[in-house]
Amino acid sequence: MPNKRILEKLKVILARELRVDADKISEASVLTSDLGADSLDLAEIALVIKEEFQYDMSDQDIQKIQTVSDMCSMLSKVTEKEAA
Amino acid sequence: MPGRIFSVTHRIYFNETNAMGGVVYFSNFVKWQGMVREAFLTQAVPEWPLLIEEARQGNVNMITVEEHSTFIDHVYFGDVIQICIQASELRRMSFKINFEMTKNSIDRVIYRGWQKLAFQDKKGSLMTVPGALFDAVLEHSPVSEVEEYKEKYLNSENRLLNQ
Repeated sequence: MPNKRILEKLKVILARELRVDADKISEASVLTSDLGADSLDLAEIALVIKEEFQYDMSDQDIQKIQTVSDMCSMLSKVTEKEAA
Repeated sequence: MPGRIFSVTHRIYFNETNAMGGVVYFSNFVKWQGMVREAFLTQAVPEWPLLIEEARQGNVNMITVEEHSTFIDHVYFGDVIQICIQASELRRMSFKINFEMTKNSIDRVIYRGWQKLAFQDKKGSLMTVPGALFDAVLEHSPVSEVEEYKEKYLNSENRLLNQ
């Protein structure tokens, strides 16, 4: 799956879970300071990612991810591995 | 069926007042949040004993993530307060309980508060709200909140993969 498609899908998820305008979400957006996510939000997002991307984010994954770009890269790697 | 309100009445005794004219000491309002919450859990959640057993075995832990209070009027020794609760901000891993207090059967809110609850599994990771509890939470939430929850999480047409 190309990155752009993952990014667009992530924007929809983040906008819905964090109640922010999808147009205001960019790859550089920091999940906590820019988009207002707290630890509960991140756990909810991980749940949606599990459903939508069939990838079970670990607590370490959640702690490592800072930006939308980080999340996008992680999911790109996962989908590339699946495709290989 | 959603829209129900759970309530508890309580008479104020000396041990809940302070030295400043017998007014109820502020921390009691937070204590009452816990009292009403736990009355709700024990009376409105039929499977609560099973959840407590799970908690005793360390498989689940209920955590209060946030708490807020707005004090509108005093309460004194002898007053009878009624605290009504409903849930809101329903999510799969958390929900809010909203508290509204009146006193002496007068239809005027004298205190509002809320708290957000979440759950941890035995590893300390956040987990989804236990189903048996969540059924009671849905029942005690405004209809609009339940509809929003169902639209967001249960409506398969909303799933992104189907787009």
